Amino acid sequence: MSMSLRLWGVRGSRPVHKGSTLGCGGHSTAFELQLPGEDFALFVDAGSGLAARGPIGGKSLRSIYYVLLTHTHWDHLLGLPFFSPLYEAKNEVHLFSSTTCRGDFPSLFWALFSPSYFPLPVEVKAKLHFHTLVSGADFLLANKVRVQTYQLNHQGVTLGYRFAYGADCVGIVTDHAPLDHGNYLGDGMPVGAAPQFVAAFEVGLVAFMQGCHTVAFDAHFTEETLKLDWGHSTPDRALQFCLQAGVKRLILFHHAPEDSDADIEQKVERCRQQAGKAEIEIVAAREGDVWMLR
Amino acid sequence: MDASLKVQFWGTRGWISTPSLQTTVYGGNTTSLQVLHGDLLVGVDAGFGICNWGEQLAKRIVEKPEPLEIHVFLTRFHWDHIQGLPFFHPIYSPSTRLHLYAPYPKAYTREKLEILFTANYSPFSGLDSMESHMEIEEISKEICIGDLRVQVGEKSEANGVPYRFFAPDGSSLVVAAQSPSLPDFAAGTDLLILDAACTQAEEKAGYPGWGGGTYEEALSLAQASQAKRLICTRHGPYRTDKALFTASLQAGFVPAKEGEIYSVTLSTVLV
Ligand SMILES: [Zn+2]
Ligand SMILES: [Zn+2]
Repeated sequence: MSMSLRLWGVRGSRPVHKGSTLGCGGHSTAFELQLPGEDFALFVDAGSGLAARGPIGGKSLRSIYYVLLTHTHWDHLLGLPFFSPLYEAKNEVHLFSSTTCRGDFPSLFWALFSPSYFPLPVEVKAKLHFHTLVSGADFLLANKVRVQTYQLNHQGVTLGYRFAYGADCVGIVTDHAPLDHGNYLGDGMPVGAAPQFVAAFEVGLVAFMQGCHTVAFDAHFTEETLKLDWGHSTPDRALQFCLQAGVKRLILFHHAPEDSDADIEQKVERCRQQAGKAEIEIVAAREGDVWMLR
Repeated sequence: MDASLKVQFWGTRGWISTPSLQTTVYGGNTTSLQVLHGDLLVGVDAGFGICNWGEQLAKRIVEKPEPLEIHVFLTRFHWDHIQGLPFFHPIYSPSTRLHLYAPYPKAYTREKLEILFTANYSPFSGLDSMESHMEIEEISKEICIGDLRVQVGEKSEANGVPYRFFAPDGSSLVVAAQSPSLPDFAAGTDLLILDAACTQAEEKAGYPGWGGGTYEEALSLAQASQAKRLICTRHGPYRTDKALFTASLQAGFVPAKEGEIYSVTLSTVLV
């Protein structure tokens, strides 16, 4: 019984295609938690990477699909209409998202398929189940995979995920910005300076990540390019959290669309230097990679 | 100043971006192109391809900081024609003036585009929260951008609206989806740029081009229009370079290549 993490899309903000990004890949964020032997499939986020699985009309192998969204920003959502299991009547598709105060999840979902934006001449036939999640949720998917959530510092309500299956455990922490200088972006986060909040948030995030072998963490910016209110983190911040939580492998994720493969390589190299002798493996998220979680 | 008319494709893909090693020749960004004429900054459609144009313009702003006046004509509001807009670099700069043209009442166009910038789907809080001046403009029939004359064709729900761009020397190019009324509008144009996603046989077999039009139909429309040259774009999303190359040889059309600049008049074709 094992779980592995497949990276279908590693790019943040938007998909990008140009010569300098082919190495790490240009699809926007999507993960699959591969669970050999299970009769369901599990995806996290639905960026364009989700569409890279193949065209609509393909026959899906399973009949139960779980798609959990960190949040509903375009880069994490726009591949959803190209998720072929949606178009097969035999399938049940469970869609999970955070509750947000700005409109309900089913209407956000269906707006993607509105004919004036998406005149696709095929029909969603799968049986859909919409689930909304709050921060601090802790439940079992299909009685097999333990899922926990933690609200991150990003516009709207954005959830970090922690998945445990047998002895394997993985965290997905994106999108997330440092809380420096009162930079509180998430819905429900206190406005104005509240140092106790920052401390409690950070302790909470470390505790949330504890036990994860691997964490994919938002590393969109570097300390030099960091724009706090854009809602993204840096390799340095990712590393600090991972070291405190005892994470064994850090996958630097949500690459900026402007970053070339060389830029990303440099980001990884500097992060490794930063880590020094600490026992942690640091890698760049690369499209198509599959990571065992041990 | 270069008075000729050229076109550069920034995005050539239909439906969804397909960045991959199999799309490096013809391109993997959703649809967008630039009409090059003199110093004007004119584009058609704002799929993700427009973001690579935006990166080029952002570099230019750093090298030569001066306000940019950009004109983008929208053929349709389908995702793949508009989704790049919130990520088009110049809109983060207060000195940019971006004109967005469509043959609809301003309020209608605004409503269609607003969803891209709402807090549900983006870290922004609406079109007006962006730093640049974005001006939505309703057009009908004809408009002039400097000495570039732009004709607006007949719009329809299914095919959007075609545009025809004329340089002062009379040379012209047409950007359009396939539609029955096209031959009149595009009559005698130097360069016809048409959407086409697959062959007729593939369409019958259910190729997921989803109504992008076939190459055969594109060729007969070009002939009926007496266009001097045809370039097909908005390639099917799962079409590899190899498949597209093979199809182009068999059907006899020129597929648009992302990044490539094409001269409108044949006498100055850039090879
Ligand atoms: Zn993101
Ligand atoms: Zn986001």
